[in-house]
Amino acid sequence: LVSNLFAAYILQLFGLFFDRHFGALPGEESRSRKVCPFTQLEIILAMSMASTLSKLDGLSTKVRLRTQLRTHKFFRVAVPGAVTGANLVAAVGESGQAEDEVEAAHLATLLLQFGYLFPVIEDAFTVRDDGTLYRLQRPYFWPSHATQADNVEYAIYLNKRLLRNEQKHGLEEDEAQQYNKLAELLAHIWEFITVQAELQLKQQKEKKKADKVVYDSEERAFWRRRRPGNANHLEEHIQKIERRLRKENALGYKAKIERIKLSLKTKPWLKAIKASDTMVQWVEKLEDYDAFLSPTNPPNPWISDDCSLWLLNTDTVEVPTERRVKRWGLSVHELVKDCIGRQVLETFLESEFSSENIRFWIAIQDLKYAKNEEIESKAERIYEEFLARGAPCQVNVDSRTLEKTIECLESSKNHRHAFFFAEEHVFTLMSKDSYPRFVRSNIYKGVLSAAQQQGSRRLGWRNFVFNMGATKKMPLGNKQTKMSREDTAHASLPKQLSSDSLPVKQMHSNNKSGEQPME
Amino acid sequence: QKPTTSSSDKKAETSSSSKKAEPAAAENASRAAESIELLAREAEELRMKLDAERNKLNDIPIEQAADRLSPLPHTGIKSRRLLKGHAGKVLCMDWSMDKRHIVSSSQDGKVIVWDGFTTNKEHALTTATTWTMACAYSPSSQLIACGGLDNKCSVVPLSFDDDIQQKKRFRAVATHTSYMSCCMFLRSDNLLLTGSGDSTCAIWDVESGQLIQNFHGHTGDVFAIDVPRCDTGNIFISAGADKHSLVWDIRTGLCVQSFDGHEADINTVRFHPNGDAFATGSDDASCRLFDLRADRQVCIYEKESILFPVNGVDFSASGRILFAGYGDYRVGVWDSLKATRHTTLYGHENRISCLKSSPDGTAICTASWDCTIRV
Repeated sequence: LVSNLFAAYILQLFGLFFDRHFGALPGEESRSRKVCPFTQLEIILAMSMASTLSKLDGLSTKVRLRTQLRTHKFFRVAVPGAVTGANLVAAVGESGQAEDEVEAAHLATLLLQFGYLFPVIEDAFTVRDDGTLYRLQRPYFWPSHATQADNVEYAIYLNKRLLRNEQKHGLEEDEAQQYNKLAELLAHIWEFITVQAELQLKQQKEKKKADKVVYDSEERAFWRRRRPGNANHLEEHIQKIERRLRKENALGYKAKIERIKLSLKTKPWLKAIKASDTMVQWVEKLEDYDAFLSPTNPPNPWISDDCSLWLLNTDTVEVPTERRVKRWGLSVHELVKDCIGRQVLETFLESEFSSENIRFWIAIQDLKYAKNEEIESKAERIYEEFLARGAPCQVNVDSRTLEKTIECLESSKNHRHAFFFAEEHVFTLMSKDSYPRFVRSNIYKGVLSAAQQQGSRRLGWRNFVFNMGATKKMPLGNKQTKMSREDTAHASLPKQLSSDSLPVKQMHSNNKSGEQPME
Repeated sequence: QKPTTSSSDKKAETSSSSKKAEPAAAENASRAAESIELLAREAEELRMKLDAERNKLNDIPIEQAADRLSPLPHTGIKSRRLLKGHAGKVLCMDWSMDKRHIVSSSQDGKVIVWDGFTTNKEHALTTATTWTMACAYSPSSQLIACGGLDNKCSVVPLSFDDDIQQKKRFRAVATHTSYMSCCMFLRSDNLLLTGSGDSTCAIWDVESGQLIQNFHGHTGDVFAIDVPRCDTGNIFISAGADKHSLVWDIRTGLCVQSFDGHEADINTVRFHPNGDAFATGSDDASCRLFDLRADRQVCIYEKESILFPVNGVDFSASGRILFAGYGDYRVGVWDSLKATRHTTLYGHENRISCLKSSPDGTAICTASWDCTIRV
């Protein structure tokens, strides 16, 4: 421990020396950054990674307490201070409160990848839940502690290896290359490095054999994690590094005060319990439409490799599916979200001679999200068509709303949101008045039944709507006739429906001479 | 009730305080320090008042309201597609409204458009910047927006012409004074919404590149934005390094609601399908659910065995399931109402940077630093 502290102290001194010469660039307030070209170790511990590492530190400490390290035998070689993968995974699972073995193994693998433990015999990137032997890395080499791992330390390490038995500790090819490059880069302090290497080796020799073996493997594992080519798990997203350290200045505090005042002023519209209740109810209603909870019909293309579900649900499909049409009945939002739903709603309102509301609303949406250069002309057109006195499709808004709208149009230069008040008014009207009637209407029911009968008849929804629309105003008595016409539609086709949307049902399948019209 | 103060008031205040800075420098410095202290104290007092108010409200966690629901069935979620082709970390992805195409951007500046269903790459574009942190598909699927460290968001039309031609057609629409962290088209091909490291959000006119509205109020970098799936509102939400989520009015540019609670940077935010709530994911390894009508946090999704930051969240079509992509390479599948983790999805080999549900909710897509994308 003492020798390690001593080495650390010397290295710290050296780290400071290097800070002055190759150290932090001006303006790097919140981070210490050293780039080692050879170890590819960018140590940029922004707060995000630092806090994750401290959590991993905590986990490692718990694992250490739960793990019994002992000497194992690996093909007649004694491996001191080791633990099997199986025991390690169990210890990690307990310490990390893992739900199952898969999670425990995953946590252990993460600890390995971040350098908190390592395989003894052969390097690997995952922890195996079997007899493979692992060691726990000493805290001195933990990523959270070892922020000074730079070129000098690496050079010292490589030197130590060269001073030792070549068979056991000789450098590999890429390490030799790096050694040569470092010898060039650090030539001016090479003597210091070689002296350091000798000193450290001397201290290491004073250890007991088992401790020496363990320490060697720990040091080797540390540097192995930092070789170029290995994923650098300590790397941070650049937005965490680039983010400016915003000093707590007057502006910052004023913004905070504004925000808290706003929060104090904001009265919740609903009590939390009511909000939770409504959310639960909403979610329940939609579970049937959730592909992860209820199987879709046709099946989910990602699973079945068949696109039918998408083909049957495009924006231009003739017959919307039953599920889709049912969804319009859930709320006005679901209806207007769907462009076909909007069209059907418009058709319904047309039949009631009140479609100007929905058309007004749609025009406003178009205005809100239009290009800058089209705003003026669109706003003008909306006013002319829907609001001006004697307008062709005059919408019914109360005088106050109209006043406020005209005010917006006259005062501000940008008319993108000039119809905000009218928009709200009209939408409320639609959702409270038109929508409930729509859901009970024959048009909606007609479209729904067309969807339900889609498979056998293939009649476009417009045709049903046409029928419904045309007969809507007839007295109730005729409703019977309409229904029966529906039922017997397969027997006799009304003449006004265009033939190309109504493929005639073949009565005789072996009749090849052409289509036989039904009787 | 709309807040009465606005950013213009703030500007007036700072100009008056900068006028104070003209006399003797030393005296002025100490006065400035004093006023900061006063402000700090005021902020602290208000915060305590807010906490006291919140504690008064009787809170029943959402889990209780969800008690009567049966637990989630076995979902059998698997990785169905693996999109390989990026050479660098994938930082962001977005779905096309046709429910099968995906655009993704990576650290090496490449933007790829995939047909997720067949896994074919249809377009490969090279941007001039590294760290292309955000990309978005336009509603018509004809335009792509992307940007990042270049402080801009550029728009490029998709066509099957030569890619070199395409490079010339990259047009900068948004310009910030710091990196652009997130972007999306605002309900049409004409408007672009961006969030930036300069702590502001902004709406831009795509054709002219003009700024339509900007949004000041965050006291830290903005990392994420989202817009409700329903067309009928005028709000959007942003969240970031100041640990707050702010709800903005598109019409006025004002912040209408603010939420806090997270203990570290918020990396991702997503509206609930009902449009009245949203979820956030943060560096503190938790996701939280906030309700706009109740004006508070209603649920927290965390576990002892989850130590890594949440980088992406999204809901299933009904909102019952909350998917969370973590820095420990996994996707957590949470029962959003019962606040329990239903299952975990394994597969990625490096941190998940982005997670989004497809427009019809038939799949989720995850992008990762292992250079792959999974559906």
